[in-house]
Amino acid sequence: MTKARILVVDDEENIRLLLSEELTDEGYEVDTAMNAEECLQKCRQESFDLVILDIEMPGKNGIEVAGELRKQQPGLKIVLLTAYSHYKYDLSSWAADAYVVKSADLSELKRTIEELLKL
Amino acid sequence: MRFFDLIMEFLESGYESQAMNKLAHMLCEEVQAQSCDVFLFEAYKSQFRLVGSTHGEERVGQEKISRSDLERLEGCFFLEHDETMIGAVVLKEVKKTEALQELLKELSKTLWVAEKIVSMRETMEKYELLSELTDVFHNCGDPDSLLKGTLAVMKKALNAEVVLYLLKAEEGYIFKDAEGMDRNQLIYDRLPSNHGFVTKVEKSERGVVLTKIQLDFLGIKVRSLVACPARLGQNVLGIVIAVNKIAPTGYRSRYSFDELDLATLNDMVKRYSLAHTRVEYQQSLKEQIERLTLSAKEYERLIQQQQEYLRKMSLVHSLSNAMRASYDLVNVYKILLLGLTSGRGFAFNRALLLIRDRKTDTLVGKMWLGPEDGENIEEIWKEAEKRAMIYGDFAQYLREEAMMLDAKGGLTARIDGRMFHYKDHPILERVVLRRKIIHVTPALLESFELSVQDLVNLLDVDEFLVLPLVGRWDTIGVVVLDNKFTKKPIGEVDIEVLRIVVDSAGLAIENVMNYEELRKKTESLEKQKNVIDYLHRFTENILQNLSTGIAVVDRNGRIIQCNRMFSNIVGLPQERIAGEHYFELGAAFQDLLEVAMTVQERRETVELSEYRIEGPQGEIFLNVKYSPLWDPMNETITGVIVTVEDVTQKVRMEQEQKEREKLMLLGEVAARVAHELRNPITVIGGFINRARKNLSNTQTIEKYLDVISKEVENLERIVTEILEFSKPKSILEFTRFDMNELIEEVVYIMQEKAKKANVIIETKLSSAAEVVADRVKLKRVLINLVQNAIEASPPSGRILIRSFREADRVVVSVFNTGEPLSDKELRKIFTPFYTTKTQGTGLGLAICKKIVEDEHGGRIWAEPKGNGMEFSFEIPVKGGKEDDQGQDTRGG
Repeated sequence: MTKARILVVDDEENIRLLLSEELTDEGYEVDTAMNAEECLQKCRQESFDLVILDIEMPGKNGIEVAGELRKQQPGLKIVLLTAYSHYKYDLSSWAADAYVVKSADLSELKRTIEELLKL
Repeated sequence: MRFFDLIMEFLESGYESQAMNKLAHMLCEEVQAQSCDVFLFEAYKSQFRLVGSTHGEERVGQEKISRSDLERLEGCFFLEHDETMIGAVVLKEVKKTEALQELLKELSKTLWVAEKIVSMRETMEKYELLSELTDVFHNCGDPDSLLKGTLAVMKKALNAEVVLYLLKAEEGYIFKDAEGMDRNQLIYDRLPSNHGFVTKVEKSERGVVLTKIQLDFLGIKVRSLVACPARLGQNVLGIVIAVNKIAPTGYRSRYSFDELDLATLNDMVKRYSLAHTRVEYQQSLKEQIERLTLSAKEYERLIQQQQEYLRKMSLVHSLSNAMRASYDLVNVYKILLLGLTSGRGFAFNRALLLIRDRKTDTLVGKMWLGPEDGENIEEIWKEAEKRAMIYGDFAQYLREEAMMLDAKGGLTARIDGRMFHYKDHPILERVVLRRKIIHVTPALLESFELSVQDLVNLLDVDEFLVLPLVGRWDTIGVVVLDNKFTKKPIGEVDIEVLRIVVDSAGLAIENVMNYEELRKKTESLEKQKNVIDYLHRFTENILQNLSTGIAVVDRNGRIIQCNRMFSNIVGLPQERIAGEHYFELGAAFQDLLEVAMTVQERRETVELSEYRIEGPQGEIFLNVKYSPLWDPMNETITGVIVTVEDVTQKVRMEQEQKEREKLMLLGEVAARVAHELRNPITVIGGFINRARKNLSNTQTIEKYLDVISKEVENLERIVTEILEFSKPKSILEFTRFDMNELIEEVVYIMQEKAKKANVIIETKLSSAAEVVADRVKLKRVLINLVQNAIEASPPSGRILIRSFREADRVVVSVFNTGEPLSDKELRKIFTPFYTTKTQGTGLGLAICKKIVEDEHGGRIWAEPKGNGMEFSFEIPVKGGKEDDQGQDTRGG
């Protein structure tokens, strides 16, 4: 079974580092992007199963990116990972498949990813 | 009695009668004597005069002989009777001596009787004359004829040639009158009081008898005279002088005036004196009576005239009263014309009224009263008379008749509205402009010829009166009167009374005209007043119901007017405010209205917004506008209109809004804080978990600890900034410093970073940039702005820092080339935690805003400019707003 490919998009370097290490440990193939542009570029060049998007980023925010990705690859699983909880109630955020609040405990994120990729 | 007739004849006819010669012959025959001479005794000369003789007739009348001489003659017998010597007879050669004694006795007796008879006759004559004098006294009513009559009688009584009367006057004697002489025979007609003759007469008791004297004032030879003063009591009235006794036809024993004559004169003069006094008295009485009679007649005439005048004046009065009682112009015209034409009034046949129109210099026909033609005139007048007589009061008649009278038709139709030009009209111009009454007569008309044809054609008469109606100041019209039908001439007296009538009518008409004008004006004023009242109520209504409070303050600070809202705001009833000085409104409003006084001085509108007042109902906020109230006439300020808008509600809402915004902001900030904190916490927590999994791998753990310590540092920085931002205002340290110096300092500090980013910093600084502010805080602002500018600049970018003074503010701007921000971004850049950078909390500009605006009372803003962005801030030169400082101290 081939490893699922996950793209982590976040402007915080340490977040990217943390997530790529953790998710790699979980058995996923992880790539990172530091902003929306890089993310969109990588998504066009490579194929990912799941994209983890930070919302607050310089340039386009995660919700916008999610919208674009949804148009490009309707089957792509998208998880919004953010420090803010209020975006959950933003309708546009519903373009994403899941909405996870950042936390030192990454178990929720991992469970969400696992569930999404099972489908 | 043989001798009696002869003796009487002699006494009556004198010597010419030869009667005594005959008597002598008779005596001779009786006693047969040779001759006979008859002598009569002239007592006053004690001599005997030969009056008859039988011989030597030539001696008769001439020969005078004394008694002693006579006694010596032979044949002389004295004739005596009753012991009175009468005469003597000289008989020569008497033959019949026996008859002699008897004869002589008879002769004596006869002579005595005859003389007595003559004397008695004379006395009788005198008495007759006296009675004649009495007749004169009776018949002569005036002193002059009395004197004349008296002198005539005196002349006759005294047998005088001349009788004259000298009247005693103050300065002497004046010749008054004379009988028997001409006035020109008088040498002087005035004698001084001290004239010898008159003095002598005046002093004598009874008068004087003088013979053979000459009077210097008389051109008459005086043989004898008697003179007697006329006395009344002690007063001498005058002197009567009788001159020269006329010889009688018969024999008299004396030929000049004697005492007897004087007595006669005296008696007559006395009577005259009395009579004169009486006549004079009567005369004066008569004169008095005559004068009284004349006066009585004159008075009677005057009274009649007066009565007539009074009657006319009463007419005038009634007419005036009637006119005055009416306030209707046409009625006044009617009353005037009725009064002039009524039989009870001035009884003119026709009266025409013209009213002056000043604009066109014409007289305009208004009304003409009187019969149209000669038909049934008598009846018409009789009817009118009857109606007039019903009324006791003429004025009442005029009023009521005027009410009933229809003056539109008839004669009026001929002249209604017709215009007569009075300028250059020989009659009308004089009447209108010179206010003359002109009585036009046929003669006058002839002299005017064609120039008055208009009036003559209209009136068709050759005598009429034209009268001016004079008002208070000027002629207001003209009345023309005539007697076309009765042809009765117009009297002069009427004209005088008519003058009063037209004067009074003029005033009455003018009064009514003024009254009408006044009434119209009053009406229009009333209408205007209604409109004004309406507008007033309307505006008052609006004013009172405005949600804005309005008050008008006069120059002295007294509140003239205010509306309901103002009173609501002030918290006092309107009536307690209006008229009061603003001091009375309480301390809070006193300050508010104090401004109004400055507005009066500065003469310009002032506005205060959200002015806070601790009013009676608590804190309120007011927008206040002060507008000078100009007097439109002389452009002075009479007061100030103060408009007060209670914006407490709005301010409260704004405050609440701010509060809400603050809360929202707080929520946002909290979220942002959470975000900012969550990232490091996620990272820290995440790596701690990972470290736990890889405890054996020290190398990995070391790497993780590095990350963790970096994130902790990050956390600390974030917490510091958040604290700084959320700290209430810090205590400021204001110092005076040069903003340019600060800019240079910051540029120096940032130069390193700029070089690294390959950005050039330039400055363009103005000279006057000294401020009083917190230098440290402003340095932070500048650093922040320059830092942002460097970060936002592309490589080879350029930064321009400028400073300049604008009014009481210093402006500093930092420009950088680089991507301009979108509108959306511009709106957000000063919000805390907003950032476009990968680095930083996003609190930098928010802190700048706090320092500049909240702490220094300045303003900070950003705008795209040319090919880049410019961030600017300005602060007051003198250390921010006062109230802000006040808040600072409270905050600190």
